[in-house]
Amino acid sequence: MTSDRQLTANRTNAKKSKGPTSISGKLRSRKNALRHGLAVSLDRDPSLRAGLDRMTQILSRASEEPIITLTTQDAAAAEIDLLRIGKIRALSFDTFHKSERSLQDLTRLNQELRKLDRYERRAFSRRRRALNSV
Amino acid sequence: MTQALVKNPFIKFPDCLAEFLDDPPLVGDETRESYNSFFAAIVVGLKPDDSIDWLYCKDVVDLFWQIRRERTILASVVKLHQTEVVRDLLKAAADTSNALESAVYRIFDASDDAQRWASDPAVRKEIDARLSAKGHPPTAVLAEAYKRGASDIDAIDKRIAWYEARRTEIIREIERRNVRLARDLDIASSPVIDGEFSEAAE
Repeated sequence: MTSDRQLTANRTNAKKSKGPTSISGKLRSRKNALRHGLAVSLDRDPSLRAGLDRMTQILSRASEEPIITLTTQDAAAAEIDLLRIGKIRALSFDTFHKSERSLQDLTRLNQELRKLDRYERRAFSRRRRALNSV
Repeated sequence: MTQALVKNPFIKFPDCLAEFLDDPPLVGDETRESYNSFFAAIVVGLKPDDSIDWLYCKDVVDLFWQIRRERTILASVVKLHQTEVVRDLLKAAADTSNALESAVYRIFDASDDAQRWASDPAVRKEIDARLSAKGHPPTAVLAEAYKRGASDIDAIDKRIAWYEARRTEIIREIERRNVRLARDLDIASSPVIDGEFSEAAE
């Protein structure tokens, strides 16, 4: 067990910390809170943005719209999200398959899938609403 | 899925959608060939008409695929809990005449025996007989495994139910779109047909 003296020293040292100083450390710590990236707006990632633009064009052509509407953009964003969720879900299953497949691994998989389901339900509803109105 | 559902599993996606549909997220021993074979079978049944229909088809395929994955996981969950139950029963049923041997067995060997029970049918038969003699038949082990894994099994069952509901909804949506398309075609073609007949009458 940590002694009181050690605890005080740890806290004092922690207060002196200014976080990571090297570029690689900063790049790494930037992703500390990142789990799956589904909460990030598609606009903030250039590769996703390009995919979103192409999907919007495809849906707009399929709906025979003279111009691209916000509803089509919504449908395209939801579709891109659904595709991303599918890939992240496959990654979670892959991690489970490569693990020892213990009960702890299973609990972890269930937790990850529960979070993904929440995003998927939202994306699915968004796409349904948007596609029904185009 | 070892047998191909269609003779030629080659599937040609619309060019504009190839980048989105051509890279299915596969896991473990799933093969691209069986996925494509399944997709081809669905396409033959649903007959996608435009890009939106194709995206719906992909959804249906992925949901079927997901349900299959979840069922495999469900089997693993039951097996994991069964192994755990067997381990606990083996510990409890250890011969107590020699305290040291019994302790060694409970600490080290019971888990190994339980693992062998899960992987080797011959060992399984022998351990099942041993446990049955102590009043724990395989059916009781299975029931206890279901009890212990209830929350995991429930979570998987709920997900499967949600995927099935979604799949039904998408198939309905494809039908609805096709009915609308047929109605729109009818409305669009009526004036042309009426015009032709009125011109002919004049």
